[in-house]
Amino acid sequence: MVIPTEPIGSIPRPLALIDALKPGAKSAGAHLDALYDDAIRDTVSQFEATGSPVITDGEQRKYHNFLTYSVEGSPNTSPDGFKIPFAAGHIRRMPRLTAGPFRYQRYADRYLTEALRYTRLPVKQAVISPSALSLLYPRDGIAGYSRESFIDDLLSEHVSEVRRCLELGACKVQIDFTEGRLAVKLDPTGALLSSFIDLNNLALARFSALERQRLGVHTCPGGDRDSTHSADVDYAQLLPSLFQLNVDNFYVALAAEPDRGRVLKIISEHLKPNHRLFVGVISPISAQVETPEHVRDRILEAAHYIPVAQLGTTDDCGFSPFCDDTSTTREIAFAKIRARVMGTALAAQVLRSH
Amino acid sequence: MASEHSEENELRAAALKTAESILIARQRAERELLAAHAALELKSEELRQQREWFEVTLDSIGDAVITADTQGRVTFMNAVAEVMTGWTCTQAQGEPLERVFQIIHEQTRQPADNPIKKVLEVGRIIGLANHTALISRSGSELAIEDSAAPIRDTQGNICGAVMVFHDVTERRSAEKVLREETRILELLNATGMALAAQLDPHALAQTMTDSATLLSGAAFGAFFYNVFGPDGNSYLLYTLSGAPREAFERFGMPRNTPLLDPTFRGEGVIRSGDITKDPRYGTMAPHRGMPRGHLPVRSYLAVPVVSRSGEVIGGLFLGHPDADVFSERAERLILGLSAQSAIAMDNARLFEAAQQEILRRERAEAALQETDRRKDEFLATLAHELRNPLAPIRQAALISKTPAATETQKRWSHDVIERQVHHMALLLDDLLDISRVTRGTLELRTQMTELTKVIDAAVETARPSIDSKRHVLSIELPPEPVHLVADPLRLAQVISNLLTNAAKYTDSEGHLRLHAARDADAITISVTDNGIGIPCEAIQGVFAMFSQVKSAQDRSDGGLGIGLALAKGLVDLHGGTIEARSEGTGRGSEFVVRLPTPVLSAPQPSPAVDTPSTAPDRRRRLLIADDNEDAAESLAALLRMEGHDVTVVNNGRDALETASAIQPEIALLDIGMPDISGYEVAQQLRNGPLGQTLTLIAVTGWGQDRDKARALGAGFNHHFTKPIEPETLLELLRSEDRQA
Repeated sequence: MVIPTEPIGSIPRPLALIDALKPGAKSAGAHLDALYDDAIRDTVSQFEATGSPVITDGEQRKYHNFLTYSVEGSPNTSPDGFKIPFAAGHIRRMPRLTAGPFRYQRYADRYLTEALRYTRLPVKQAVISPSALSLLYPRDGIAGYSRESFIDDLLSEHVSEVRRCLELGACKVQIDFTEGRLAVKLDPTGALLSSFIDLNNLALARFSALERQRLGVHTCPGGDRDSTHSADVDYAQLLPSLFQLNVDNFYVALAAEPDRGRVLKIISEHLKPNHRLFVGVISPISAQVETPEHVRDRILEAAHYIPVAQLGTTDDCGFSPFCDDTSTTREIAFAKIRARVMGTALAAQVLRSH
Repeated sequence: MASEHSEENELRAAALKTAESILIARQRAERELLAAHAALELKSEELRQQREWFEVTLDSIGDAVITADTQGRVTFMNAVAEVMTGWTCTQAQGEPLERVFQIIHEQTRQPADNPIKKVLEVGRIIGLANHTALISRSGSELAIEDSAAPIRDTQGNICGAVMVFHDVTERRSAEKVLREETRILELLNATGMALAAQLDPHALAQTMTDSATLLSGAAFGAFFYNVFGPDGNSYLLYTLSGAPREAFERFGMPRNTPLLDPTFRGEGVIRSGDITKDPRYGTMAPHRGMPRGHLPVRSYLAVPVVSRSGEVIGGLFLGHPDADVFSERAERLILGLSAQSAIAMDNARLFEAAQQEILRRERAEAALQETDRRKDEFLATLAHELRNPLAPIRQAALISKTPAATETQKRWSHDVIERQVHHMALLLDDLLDISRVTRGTLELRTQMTELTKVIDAAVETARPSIDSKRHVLSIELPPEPVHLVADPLRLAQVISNLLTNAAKYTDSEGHLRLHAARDADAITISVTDNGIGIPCEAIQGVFAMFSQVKSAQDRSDGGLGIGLALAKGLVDLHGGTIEARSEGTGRGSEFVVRLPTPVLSAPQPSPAVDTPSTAPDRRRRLLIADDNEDAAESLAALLRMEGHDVTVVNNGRDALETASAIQPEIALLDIGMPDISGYEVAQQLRNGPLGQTLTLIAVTGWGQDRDKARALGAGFNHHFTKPIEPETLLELLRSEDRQA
C-alpha cells in the first residue's frame, strides 16, 4: 500500500533570482534567463533529492505570483486592482482589467516544458483558478466589454491553459483555489463562494471524466510571508461547497488548523467516492521542520476519518506563492518536503501492518 | 482601516457583480447543457435505434457476428454468436476472443488460427476457413466456416475487426447425404450395366452379391442358389462378398432352419435390427444359432431372388456385426436389385439353354448328316450285297432252264440258287435283327445254357468263312462246364459274328483265337486275330451302325457293316459288355465279351428243341395266293414235292372263290395283291364257312412287328417273311398235323 504524496507547487526562489527581480534591478534578458534556468534546475534537483515521487518546478518562473502570472504585463491591465490584506499586515494588490478582450499573456505549460527538460519524474503543474482571476474585472464594468464576455473569455483561457498542461504530460494540474475562504469572508452568505464554485465547475465541465482524474483543487487560507488572508474563516463554511467542485483530487491545508479532527470530520461527510483528499501535513508558514514521525502521526490522525484508499498527503500551501517571499529558505522548504515524504512512508507502513 | 473596509466593500461588490455574470453564464451553460443533453438524448435514442436496428439486423442474418477491438477483445456478439459460443454478449465483452471463440481443425484437432488476430496483423479480409470446429462453452462441437475483416474509422485506421461465421453442420450433413445418394446411384448404374452385359450365371450372382453388400452397408453378403448339372442333379452354389470363403467354408451349406427357410421358399423379405433377438433364431440344434467361429451377425437382411416365372432362384443374405444397420431404404434398394438380378439370371439361363440347344441341334444335325451318309453308304452296300447273290441265282436259273443242261449242271444250279438264297436270307435276317435291336423290340429267349454248346454252334456258323481263307482257329475253353443264362441262338450269333469278322479282316492263313474264361463276376469270351487291326481313331465307332473301317471297305469280302452293331446290341440285351481292342492298323484286333455270371443253380435242362416228328407227313390241301407267279409256283412246286395238294391263284378274289371251291386246310396268302389285300381275304375267309378251321399263313415281304400284328389281327394264324425258309414251313405243316 502506498499513500500518494505531492507538493503544492511553489519553492522559495534563490536569493540571486529574487534580487534580480526587484524593481530597479538591472537584470534582464539572458542574464535573467540564466538565473531562471539555474533556479529551475536546482529546484528540480533538490526536489528529486527529497525522494518526492511527484515534483514541480517550484514555480520559479511564475512572476510575480501564483495569481497574476498569466496576465503579468498584459496591456489591458493596470496594477491598481483589488487589494488582498494578509494577517501579517501586508497586502498584495491584484491587477485590474481595463479593457477587453481578456487574454492570458502566458500559459503555465511553458513552465512545465522547462521543468520536463530537467527530470524524468512526474511533474505537476499549478494554475490559477478562473474564480481568482474573475476579481480582475472592475466593479463598474468596462465599456464595450461586458462581464459576461469577460467570463466567457476567462473560462476559455483557463480551460486552454489546463488542457495545454494536460496534453504536455503533466501528471496532475492543480487549480489554486485559495480565494474560497476569502469568498466566504467577503460574503458570509455564501453566494460569492457558490458563484466561485459555479465558475470553476463551468470550466471543469469542459473536461472529460478521465481528464478530471488528473485535475485537482488546492485550497488554503492564502499563504504569503508566513501569513494568511483568510485563516479566520471557518473551514466548515468552505468545505461543503469545496467538494462540489467537479474534480477528483483535493489538496486541503490542514497542518495549521487548530482543530484538525473537526475539519477532517466535515471533510469525511462531504468527500465523494471518486475523490482523493491530499491532507496538508506540513505547515509552510511554520519555521520548524516537522519530523517524519510528526508527519506520520498527522497522517494516522487523518486516516481515522478518511479511507486510506482516498488519502494522500501534501503541504498546506506553496512555500513561496509570491516570488519575493523570503520568509522561508529553500533549505527549510526542501527539508519539510523530505519530512513529508518520509513521514508518509512511515504512515503507510503502519497502516499496512494494520 | 476605513480604507480597508471600503476596499473590501469594493471587492465584495465587484465580486458579487461578477457573481451575477457567473450566474448568467451558469444558467446559459445549464441551458446549453440541457440542450446538449436533449440533443444527446436524441442522438442517443437515434444511436440506440440504430444499434437496435443493427443488432436486430445482425440477429436476423442467420450468421454469427463477433466484433473485437484492436487488442483482440470482444466488443460485441449477436444472438446467433451467443447461441453458438455459449457466451452472452455481456459475458464476452472485454474477454480475449480466443477465450470466447475456441476453434480447432476438424481433422488434426489442433487449435486453429484466430481469424481476428490474423486480420489485425495483416489488415485485410481473411476469407472463409474450412474444416473448422467451434468448441462452445459447454464443450459441444459445431462445424463452422468463418471469415473476418478489419473495421476502419473514417481516417482508414484499423479500430477493430469483425468476424462472421455460420454453422455448416446441416450443409455438411446434406453434402454427406448427397454424396451417399450419388454413390448409390452410381453403384446402381454400374450394377445395372454389369447385369445387362453378363451372361454367366455365377458371374451375375457375384455381381449381385457385391452390389447388394455395398448398397446396403452390410459387412458381408452371401447368395445361395441351385443349378442343375449335365447329369440332371441339383447343386447348391454360393457367392460371397465382404468376407473370404475361408470364413464360411468350414460351416457347410446353410440348412433349412426356421430363419433361413422362408427366404429359400421365396416368402418375402426378412429385415432385423438384431437377429439374435428374433424368436426364430437359435431354435435348431446343434448350434442353436450361429456356429462357433462364425462372423458375428446382428443386423440381418434376407431377400429371396425370384424369377419371372415364380421360381425361387436363390436367397441373398446380408449381415453386419452392429445392430440396426439396415434401413427401410436399404431393404427397398436390395429388393429392386434382386428383381433386376432375377431377370438377368433368367436371361442368362435362357441364353445358356439356347446355346446348349443350338449345340445339341448342331450335334444332332451332324449326327443326322453322318447317319444319312452312313445310310447312303449302307444302302449302296446293301444294294451291292443283294446284287451279288442275284447274279449267280439268275445264271443258275438260266442254266437249269437250258435244255442242254446236264443233270449235274442242273443240280449245281440248284445248289447255287439255294446257297445264294440262303445268303440273302441271312443278310435280310441280320437287317431285321438290327432293326429290332435298334427299336428295342427284339426279345431274348433266355435260358440256362452251357457255354460249350453255344460256342460250337457259333464256330459251325463261322466255319465257312474261316475255312475259305485257310485261317487257323484255336479255341480255349475252361475245363469245367460253364453255365450261363443267355439266349443260346443269339449268343451264338454274337460269337459267330465276331469270328466271321475276324476271318474277314485277316489275311489268308491267319490265326484266330477264341478264348473263354470265367471269374467271380463274369464270363469272358474273346476273339483275337492277327488281321488288319483297327486304327485308334476308329476304335470308338466300331460298334456303331453302318460302320466299316475304311480300310476294310476296299475288300471284296463285302458285308453290310452291321454285324458288330448287332453283336453289341445283343450283348447289351444280355446285360453284358463288348469291347474292341487293337494296337493299330496291321496289328490285329481283339473283341472281348463279358457276360454277367448267373447265380448258379442246378443246370436247367434245355427246353426240348422241337425236333422233327418221326410221324409221316399227311397229304394236306393247300391254297397259295400270290400275284408273283414265280414265287407262287416255286412254293407250290416245293410243297407238291412233299406230297401236298396245292392250288395256286394270283389275286385275292380268285383266292376267295377257289377257297370256297376246294375247301383248303391251309391257305398261304400274299398280303400285297392287286385287287384285294391278303388281310381282306383272310377276314372274309374267317367270316365264311371255313371259319376257324382254316389255317391261314401270311407270306409277305413285310416283316415288321406291326405287320405281324396286323396279320394276326386279320385272322392269320402265322406270319412268314419272304423268302420262306422251306424247312420252317414244312415243320409248321408237320406241327399242324400233330395238333390235328
